[in-house]
Amino acid sequence: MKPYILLVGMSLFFVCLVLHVVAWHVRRPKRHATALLAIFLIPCAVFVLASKGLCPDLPWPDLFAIALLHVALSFAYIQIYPASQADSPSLKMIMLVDKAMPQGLTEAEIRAQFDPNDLFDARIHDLLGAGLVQRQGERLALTRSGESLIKPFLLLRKVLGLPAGKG
Amino acid sequence: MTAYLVVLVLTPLWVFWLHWIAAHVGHYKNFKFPPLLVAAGAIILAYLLVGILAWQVYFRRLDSLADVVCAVIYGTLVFGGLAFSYFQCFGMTETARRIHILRALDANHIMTFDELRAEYGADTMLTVRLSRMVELNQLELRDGRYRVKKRLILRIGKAMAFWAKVLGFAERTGA
Repeated sequence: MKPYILLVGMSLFFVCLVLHVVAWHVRRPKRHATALLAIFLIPCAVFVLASKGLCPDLPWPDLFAIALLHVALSFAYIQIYPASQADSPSLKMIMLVDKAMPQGLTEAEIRAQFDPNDLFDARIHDLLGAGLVQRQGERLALTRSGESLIKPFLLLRKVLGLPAGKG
Repeated sequence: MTAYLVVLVLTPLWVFWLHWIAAHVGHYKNFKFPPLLVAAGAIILAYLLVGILAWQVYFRRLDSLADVVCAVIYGTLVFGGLAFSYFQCFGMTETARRIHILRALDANHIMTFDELRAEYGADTMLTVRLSRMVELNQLELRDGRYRVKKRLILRIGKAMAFWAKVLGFAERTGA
């Protein structure tokens, strides 16, 4: 494998990462996932097409290999991004315990650090805001988008023979 | 190289296939491994499988050691990225609050806010997470107090807190 594939693929990813950081400082988008997909995928498509246009001798497998490396790294980053964007209770919990080492924390002390509204109610409002859940009077129900989103996750667990996750 | 790229593109399928086998064997043998550990185990096995396939279709035909090293680093990065994406998707079915709420609504069709809260309120969320951290050996419960046992998730938390600062999000716990 030609070393330039590795070099260009990684450079492309890091350029997009820098673009993402700059964009977030200039103006943070409302729809994070869509913006991230655009920031990471559009430059890659432009790069591949421009490279082929400027250097017609570049073989397609090399360009595909560059794009594949970029896409694999980008998907991994986009998947882990929510953990930096919103407080993950598990990460927050373990960091609180670490701060209290060596004596550690009791369960009550850990619970006292969490706002129940933020843990549960805020997530419901996120889902309402994203159009995945809708109000029907006093009740809540899934929207079409919510149903479409949850089905693949349910299918994955069913195929793996696992009960529903505990959340 | 095309065959090598095909092997790598199929990474999520290799991982899923081995995950399926591991999950069903575990169920059949009544093993009690945490589901996230089973998924991680499937990824390690898939890495070995992809390594063997890569050797067969590509590595053994390369002339220089530099080419092999490049191909191995490249394959590890692509495999890592795609396998991690699979792991995160599976992890969401296991741990994500939003997915849990959507699942509850899918199962019960329509629920009031209080019914949802009763099934999966803040208390339940924290209990489930504390048990999971103990199950994954990240925390230990001794004399009624939780203490850090292994530091993998703690390090991830610190890295995320650092990255949140880079992105300009407000300072968070422990950052």
